[in-house]
Amino acid sequence: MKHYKKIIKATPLLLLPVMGSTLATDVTVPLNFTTLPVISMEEITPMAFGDVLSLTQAATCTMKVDAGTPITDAEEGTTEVSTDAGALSVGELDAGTDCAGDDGQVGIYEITSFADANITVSVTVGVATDIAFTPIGYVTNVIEGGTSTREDLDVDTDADVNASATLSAFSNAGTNRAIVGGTITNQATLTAGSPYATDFNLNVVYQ
Amino acid sequence: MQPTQRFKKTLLAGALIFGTCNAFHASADLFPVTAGAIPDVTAGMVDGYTELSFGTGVIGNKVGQSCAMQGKTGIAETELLWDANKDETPDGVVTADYGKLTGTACITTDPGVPMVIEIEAAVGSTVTITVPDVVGAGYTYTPTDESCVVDFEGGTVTDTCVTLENNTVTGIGTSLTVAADGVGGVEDVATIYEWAAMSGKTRMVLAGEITINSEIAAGSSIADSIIVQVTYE
Repeated sequence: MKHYKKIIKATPLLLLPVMGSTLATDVTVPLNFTTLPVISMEEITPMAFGDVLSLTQAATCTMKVDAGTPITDAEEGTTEVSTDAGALSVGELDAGTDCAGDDGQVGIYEITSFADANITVSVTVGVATDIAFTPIGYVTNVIEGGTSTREDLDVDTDADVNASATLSAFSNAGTNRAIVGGTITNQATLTAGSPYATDFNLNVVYQ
Repeated sequence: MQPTQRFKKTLLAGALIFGTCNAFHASADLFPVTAGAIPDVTAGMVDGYTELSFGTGVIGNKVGQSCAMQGKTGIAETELLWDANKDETPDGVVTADYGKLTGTACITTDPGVPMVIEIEAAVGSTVTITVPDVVGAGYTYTPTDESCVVDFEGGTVTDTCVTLENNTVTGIGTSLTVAADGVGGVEDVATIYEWAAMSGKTRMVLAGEITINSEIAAGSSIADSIIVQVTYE
């Protein structure tokens, strides 16, 4: 009984080291981040060859992206390309192919990703109809310091480019422009005066 | 041999007197003893710090790749309120490296936001601090060696900011009250720079790294919690 009372009296002292070892605290720190936004694309100018196609099956018609009508800073979305790489003309229909007529209209597409993001742009052929289309073109590449280059783009060549870091007079931050021409190949004999349409794919992913 | 009747009375009287004497010369009682345990350790975010953020440029499809944030290598002594070499001079400034992001799983143009936490414990006590990894949906956060806790050694050598690369640090001393020597060299909380307000306190900076484990959809906003555990040793 005496031992029992001693134990009872000593209990608070026995608990002291136990309580000491449990003295603790937690701090909950909010952790957050956001993944890069979904990449979007907008057609600034539709691609149009004009009424220039030969009617013959297997005939081809190529629209160039390095000759033709001068492209403006507003169309390319930057002033730097024209300044550093020289003014460029686009849309000329290749006289060596089976089309005839004035310059066509290249397709101009704005890619919106994220400011200063590195992206890979590629093109693939679409679904052939009476005509098939193989795209070729270039993508603006905004490098550090604000200068830009044009990076080639075709079915076998992806373009690794950097999106604009800041707002400019002609585009928002996080954008690039793809300028696309290409070659139409007739899949059948065409009918004079008829419109024809096909498509192609423009693909963009973050590097 | 039995005592006589008269002697019996004498013995009885003597016993009574003896017993009475005992009552006057010995006693027993209970007296209270009080003691208090050391105050519970407390910790909280320093004013101006509300989150640890890796920003809006994390690339969710970079599976197996990481985005690291600098903390320790860019923070000034005045931010952690310590004097590593005890020269009573604030060393360093918050540099561009503070919060800087590096790695292939994020856009590194803009910095992230590190966290600074202040811990208060009994003066002279030591604490253990643990920052477990956070495993979220598609990513893991770890504190790395860019997170650290200031360890006040209480002497004349150097204090250190002990890194949390292994998630746990032990034996972290809180700032001690040591007599001022007036010329530096001794950890001294009586002078202006040597952090009179830091008696019983220490600070830590939390930065670290996130690694993408599986693809996180573009445009996802991730919010999670890092639990910083502080325990007396």
